[in-house]
Amino acid sequence: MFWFLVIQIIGTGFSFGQTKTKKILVIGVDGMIHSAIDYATTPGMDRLIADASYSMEGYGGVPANATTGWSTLLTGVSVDKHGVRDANSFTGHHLDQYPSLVKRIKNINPSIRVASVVRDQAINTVLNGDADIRLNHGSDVEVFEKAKEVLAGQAADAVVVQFSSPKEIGSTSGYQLRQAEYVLAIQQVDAYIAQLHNVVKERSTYAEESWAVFVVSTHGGTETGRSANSTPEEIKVPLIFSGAELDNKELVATAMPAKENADNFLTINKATTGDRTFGRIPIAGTALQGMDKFTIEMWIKAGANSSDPVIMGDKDWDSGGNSGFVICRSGSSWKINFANDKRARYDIGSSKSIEDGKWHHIAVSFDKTRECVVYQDGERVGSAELSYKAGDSMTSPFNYIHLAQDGTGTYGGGAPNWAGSFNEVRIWTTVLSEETLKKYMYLPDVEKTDHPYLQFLNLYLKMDEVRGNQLADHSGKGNHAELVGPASERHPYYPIGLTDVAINVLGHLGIRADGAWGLDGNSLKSNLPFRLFKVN
Amino acid sequence: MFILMGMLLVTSCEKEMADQTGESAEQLMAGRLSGTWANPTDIVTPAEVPAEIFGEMRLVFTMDGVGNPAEFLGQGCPIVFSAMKSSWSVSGAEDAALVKLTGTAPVDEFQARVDANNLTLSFYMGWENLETGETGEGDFQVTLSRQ
Repeated sequence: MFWFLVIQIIGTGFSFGQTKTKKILVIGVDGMIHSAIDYATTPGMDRLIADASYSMEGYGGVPANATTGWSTLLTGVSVDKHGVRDANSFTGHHLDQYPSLVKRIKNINPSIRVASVVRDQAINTVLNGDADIRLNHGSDVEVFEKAKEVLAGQAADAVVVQFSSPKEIGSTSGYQLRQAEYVLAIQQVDAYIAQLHNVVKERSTYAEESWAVFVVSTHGGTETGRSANSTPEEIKVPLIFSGAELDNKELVATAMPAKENADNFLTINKATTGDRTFGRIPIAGTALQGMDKFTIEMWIKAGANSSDPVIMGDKDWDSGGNSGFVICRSGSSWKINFANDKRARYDIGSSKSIEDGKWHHIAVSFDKTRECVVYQDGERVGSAELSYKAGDSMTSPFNYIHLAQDGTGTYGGGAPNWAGSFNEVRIWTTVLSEETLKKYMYLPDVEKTDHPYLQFLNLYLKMDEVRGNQLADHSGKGNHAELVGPASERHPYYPIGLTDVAINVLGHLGIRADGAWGLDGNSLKSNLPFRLFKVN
Repeated sequence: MFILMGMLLVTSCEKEMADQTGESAEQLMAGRLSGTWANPTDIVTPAEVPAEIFGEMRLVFTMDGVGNPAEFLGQGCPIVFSAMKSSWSVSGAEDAALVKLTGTAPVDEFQARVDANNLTLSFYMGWENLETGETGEGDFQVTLSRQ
């Protein structure tokens, strides 16, 4: 054991009883899209990723702009709490209740010296007013030069740096990797990051310090450069948490347990026992039974399936002529089948695959006497004129709409049930246009938006539950669903988000977040300062 | 030659028994373990090691199409299982099984006791407090419930 310890000490440089001084560099980049690091040449960020908890598909938040993003990053709470929504103003902020982490650091431990070197002066006046060093400059290169100077010296323990050139280029010529100008902006920022990292490592006191370097993007952007605030390209951001003894790995949503107060999703597997697993929504006596008009939309990610299991339905799928509807697997794609009480049936399908391991938005709008339209990922992919009469009944004899099973809950095709993941399941008892579907399909918490048809929302399963067998209906109509069976899992839709920055900065600096602060982020440091090793 | 014949006889008997149930002993145990286990309770660690070492442990055992062990996901407990995804094998019986993992560290095998609702893992490991340099070794145990 003695020799083991000697080898360990030599190998790691660890010395008994000595605690290194915690230091941190947080670099916020405005407008670095989530796919940038894959496509651009970014050796600086690649080097950080090698020792990081990271995701290229983190959640930046809505609205996706720099002012809101910086507020989320520095307060550690979502926009609902900090209140900063405008792209160029902090109007309406609640920073008195949810202050910047700089204020928290200085309140708890005034000896920690904070420097804030940014492009946007308002960040220093509104968010980082408590920083010991506050500098703002008109260009990234000036910010870089100043940050380099601060990091080389001994005047700061925590340094916040803002680069904005990707946003400036992207907003004028598009956030797209086919544009050399945008790629060059990303690569220039990466070069700044690499050099700042080098400056940190070359500090004369580096051996006695424990540095963390976090690089995050405050928002993404669209290929056109126009802001829609509702597209994944804008909402998804890369987040790199390097050092700080965090869990060293790529964070993958499907390998993480669901998180409290987060956008989670539900996965239904095929139980090896053969027992069926499904969700069931009671519809007896509700507006969801025998709908003459509806729009059903949901996000799904298909698992391994065969035959024609049902993704959602209220009818007996043993016959397509039975009354009611099912949305079911069809080859590697999907379709809707419905029939009236006279067994007049329609089958309208998508031609696009859903079995590619990716999330897809599927939607069906139905007007009994007019038309049924099928959408996939916001695009119209199928339709049929309907010849039903006003007096025809579409009502199934069953009292549940099931998820992953048909109305009977016992359909045998592809048994025991459809395998796959669900998120944001919505049923509207009216027909939504393609434009409306596209505008709101990416937005969580749709009940809090300006969606023009909220009064027709009769089912909204966010699937955000962390545990339990209830699938809460957020439509306000009380159509709560029940999860039945043994083979379900819940995971976060986004593995990490901008709200995770503040709590991990505080954690690295040895500041334990108080529950009363209401921070929304999660610590990525699940490990205590312990390690295990095998013994003979 | 006599010993060889005896070994062949034993091998033959085992194969015959497996054929009777349609599943090997490993497949039967894999079926017991297959699924998701979480919510650590009844934690045992050496006195100097906090129970939090097990973190938010959540284990997923998967099987392939014929019921053999496939993937092992050790989530929320990086001190115990460094890799989130590895492979596994199992031997023994439900009250004293040995699970071996490939592709993760430091714990790459543990004793398992499983019933319909609970899975208890136990292993003996060395430990080190990285802040004080204190080291030791001892028994670790945690019980997870089926999800």
